[in-house]
Amino acid sequence: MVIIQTFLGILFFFLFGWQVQAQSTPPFASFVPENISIVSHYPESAFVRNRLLPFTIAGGEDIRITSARVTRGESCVAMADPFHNRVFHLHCRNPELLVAEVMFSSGFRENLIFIVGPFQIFEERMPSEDGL
Amino acid sequence: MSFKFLTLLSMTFVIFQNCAPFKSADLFQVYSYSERPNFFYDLKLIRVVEDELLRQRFEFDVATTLAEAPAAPVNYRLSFSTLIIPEVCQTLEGVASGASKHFRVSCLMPLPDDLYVQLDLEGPQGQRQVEEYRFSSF
Repeated sequence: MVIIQTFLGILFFFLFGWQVQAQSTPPFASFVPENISIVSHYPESAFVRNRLLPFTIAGGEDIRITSARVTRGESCVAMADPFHNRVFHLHCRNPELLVAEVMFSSGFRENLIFIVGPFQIFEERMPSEDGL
Repeated sequence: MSFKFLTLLSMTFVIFQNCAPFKSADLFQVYSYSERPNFFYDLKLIRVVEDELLRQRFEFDVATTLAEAPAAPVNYRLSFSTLIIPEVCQTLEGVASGASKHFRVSCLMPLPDDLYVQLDLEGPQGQRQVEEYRFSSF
């Protein structure tokens, strides 16, 4: 009986956990208007590990980033800048491929999503290799 | 029986809390600005190469940009000193814009010593930021 109850308990929390994870990608998200774009502050040659990489959401009005998360890149993190509404940052501890998802609002339009990347994060890279 | 079940349930709940990736701590470690920054910048020591005369060449990788306007140019000035020699390498000045917002600089030290680097940034509307770094001799 105890084994069955334990099994059911584990099963319940497996299911519960998956539900929480599924909610983190809202089903009502929509993609952005054409006049809004993502601009990298640094040229791609600067995309190396252990560097905070700033990006700005350009265009649109009253832009406010609500969340930023990494969808590919084990050692990577994404964050909205705490001081600049249009800016978010990406960072990787190791060289790898990075993809992120940024959710923001523009005026009355909410839950707009940008998929950022894929970017290759290097160990080291000489400037002007890509020419921007 | 019920108590055992509740205990197991609680333990299962606690264990599964650790399954989710927790990255909040990482974010605070990588974001180094404690106040609203006018600039984003990063100066990395890439390598130190010693020549046959035992002089050390410090090579740096630098990236800088204006926080409010990614397309705006940034004037930069890099000066190098030790505690004894005020200008141990030639001061470098330039404008970071477009692809040149990422650049390399190096400093050849005449004697092994700690190197002090000052990064001075100026924006198009007079914004200013001065950052100082210290690199130990190897």
